[in-house]
Amino acid sequence: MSENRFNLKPDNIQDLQKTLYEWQNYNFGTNQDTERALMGICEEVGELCHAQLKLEQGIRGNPEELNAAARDAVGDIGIYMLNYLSGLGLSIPSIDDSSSPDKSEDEYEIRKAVFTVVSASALVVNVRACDSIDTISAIRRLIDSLNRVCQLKGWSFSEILMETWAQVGRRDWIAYPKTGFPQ
Amino acid sequence: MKPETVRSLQDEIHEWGLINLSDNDYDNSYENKKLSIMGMCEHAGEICASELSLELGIRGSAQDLNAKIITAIGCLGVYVINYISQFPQGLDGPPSLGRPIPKSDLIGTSASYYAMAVFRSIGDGASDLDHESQCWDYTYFAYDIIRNLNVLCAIKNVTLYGAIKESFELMKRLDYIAYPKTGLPDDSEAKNGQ
Repeated sequence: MSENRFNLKPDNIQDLQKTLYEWQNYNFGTNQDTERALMGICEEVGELCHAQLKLEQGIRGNPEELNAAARDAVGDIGIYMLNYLSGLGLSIPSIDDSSSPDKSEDEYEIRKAVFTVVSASALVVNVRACDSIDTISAIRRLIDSLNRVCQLKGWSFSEILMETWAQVGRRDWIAYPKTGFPQ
Repeated sequence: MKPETVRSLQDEIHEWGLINLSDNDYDNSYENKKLSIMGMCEHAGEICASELSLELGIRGSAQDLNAKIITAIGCLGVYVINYISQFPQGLDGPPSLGRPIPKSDLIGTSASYYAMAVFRSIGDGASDLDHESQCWDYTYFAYDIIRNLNVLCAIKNVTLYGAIKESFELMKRLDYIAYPKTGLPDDSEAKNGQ
């Protein structure tokens, strides 16, 4: 796959969603089950929990490595969320992460924010099983919870999404099924 | 599976969990419950990751990915049992642990569905704890997880009791005080320790 096949620097989140959907269709086919995107969200929320727990426990890596892992997880949750929405034919709601960072080292506050990501992502998953809840409102809650984690860490969610896409978009799972990259 | 066998495993996990899974900085069991649920979420995420990779045919062979799933099921089971053990009524359960599921009951079931069901159950518990609901049976979701793990194990052709026991044997060997990076002695850390 040529590196220029997909636009790695989309202008905004809506363009990113469109380009990502094209990438998804190229790599995994057009008949994708949206449940796979939900499973991806579950996977990455688990990684966010892993990073936060290990940060608190001071094990399995230094704070820099674990914060980088948490940042990766936030980006990947966003990418799977966009794929999920595309699979349902829905557009991503606007992301307002313009409020000033509220950076904090407070373990309680960060844990609380990560915990809210767990419950918000489970709500998104539950919407799949229960039509009465509005998918978009569940997604908004997930975005809000991710924004809160980013605020406390001093990050910008939309910036992380763009950075993550710049990595994801280079992967070619057809040519390199093990890692997406040439070995 | 004899009830006393399950009870004995639960007691052992509870004793180990008091030392290794509780945060002694908090005398508040509310925060410890959050930590437990985040630990469950971590391993549920691992199950979903490997199940997703299996479906997509990426990130390893089916044999390796299924082995990872079974280990993650076992680790999650340890967290759930430890969590249930924090409640007086939980010590005699969960009754379905190790109960075999007839093959005929598995027709039409999919592992990914049950992996997601596990995550949903964890999310239910997280959501209620997040809202600090006081009039709540905080164990109900944990029994849901056990039920879903039991089906996942049947699909994978292992028993839940066996998966938990095997993962617990691995977890018991971890010593993060001595070896903070992996919990196990390795060359680099042994050198650092000298």
